[in-house]
Amino acid sequence: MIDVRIRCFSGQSETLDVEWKSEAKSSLLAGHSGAGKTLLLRAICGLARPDEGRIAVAGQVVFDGPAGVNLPPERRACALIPSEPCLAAGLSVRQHLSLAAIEGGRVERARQAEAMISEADLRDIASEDAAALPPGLQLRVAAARALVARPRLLLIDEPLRGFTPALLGEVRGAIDAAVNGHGVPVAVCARGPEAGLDLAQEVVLLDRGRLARQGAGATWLDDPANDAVVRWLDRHAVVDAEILGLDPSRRSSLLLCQPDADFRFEAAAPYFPGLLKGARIRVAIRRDRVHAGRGAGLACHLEEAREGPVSVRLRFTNGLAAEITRREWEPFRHNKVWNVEIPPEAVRLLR
Amino acid sequence: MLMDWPSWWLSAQTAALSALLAFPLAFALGWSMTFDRRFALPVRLAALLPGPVLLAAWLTGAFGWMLAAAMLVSVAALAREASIRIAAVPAPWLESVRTLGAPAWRAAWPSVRSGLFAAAGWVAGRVFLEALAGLLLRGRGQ
Repeated sequence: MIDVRIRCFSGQSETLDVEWKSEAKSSLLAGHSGAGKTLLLRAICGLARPDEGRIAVAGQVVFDGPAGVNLPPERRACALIPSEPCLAAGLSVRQHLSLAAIEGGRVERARQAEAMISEADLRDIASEDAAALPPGLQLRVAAARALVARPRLLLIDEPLRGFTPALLGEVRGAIDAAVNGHGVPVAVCARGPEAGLDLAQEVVLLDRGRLARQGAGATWLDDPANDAVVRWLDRHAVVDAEILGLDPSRRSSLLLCQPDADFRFEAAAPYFPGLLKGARIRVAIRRDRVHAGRGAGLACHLEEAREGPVSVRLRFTNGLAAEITRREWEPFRHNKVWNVEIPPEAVRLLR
Repeated sequence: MLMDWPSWWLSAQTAALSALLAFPLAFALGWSMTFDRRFALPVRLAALLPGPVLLAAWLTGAFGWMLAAAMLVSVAALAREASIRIAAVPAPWLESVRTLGAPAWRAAWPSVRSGLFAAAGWVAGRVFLEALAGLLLRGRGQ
């Protein structure tokens, strides 16, 4: 459905170099600010011109640098809901939808708009000023307006202030309406993982203008695979390690973590096929799987505790990290030394 | 002299016709002034045209020349208004509507419509008064 291979430059530096092929019905384009998500969306829908490459959507080439093809946005049928408000003040919801209905005469366009008003459950607010609606409803109107135009692809950029739970609900509704109601694939941009790794069929992570990982996001927490995913998820501690032992029969291995530091420690880990004893590796240890308290385990000196509304993140001087509930935190909040236990399943190899 | 009905009627016709004919031209010109720098030089050259045409209108007193002069003045004034209003249309709004397949001018039109109608009324009034004053003065001079 989407076949993108583009490069964009800003002066001498490269800002985007992405090769993204996808047959998924819904994709989450993820990455921190400046990763190139919005530029990629704008290049796909024709609002930004890549310096090199080729873009095809649903089998149609909309941009091909060497061949000189560059369809204008209105001929690409890739509807964009931008990050900033995109509804005009003074126009009602009905007027917005009528404006987007582009097929047929005036009567047919009005009929299409009315049908979409019913479908998107906008009848009660059809006559209201669209720009004065709450953000969630604005997003619903923008999505309905996009679907009236019968696009080949719907692109949703993350609002400047991020996705609130209400907005996320509307995004899920928009994805469902587009994919299941109209057969239109959707790509949604999101900075952080708060949008949910299950928001779309696949997650496409951009990091510093490059595609860092693409695939079903459900497994990413358990297996982040590379540094870019670890940085984006912000749920793991990354530790250098040396393999002390490998046991294929028990599917386990023994690691010497932080081998070059004074605070080196041993940890059990899953078996790493293809690696030999003595190999230097980097592993990600999932914070919320690490047990920290007064029980058995490795004695670790607390360096920093960051209290959140539900949980507390602990960072230790040896590079380990843990995440515990506030209830677990309260009795030991003045502890300087914690006993940390690392279950093998919390350790994953980074490539 | 103020009851010179032919002058009033001719001025009103000139104002109404020029506003009516100039409106779509001015919108198109305002659009190209805003988004297409290639038209900058032709637009600047066209701005010099009202002078000789106004002179011809004054010398001949013919309705055709009057209308041509009024058209030029109306197009220039309305195009300026249009370009200002089109430039003020929020970019995200305009861009998002363009990606829906709607022509760009159609996306901008609802946002600039009321302001342009008001500007057209103002231009028509100005053309009417200028034409009337010109005709009355010319009649008095002769």
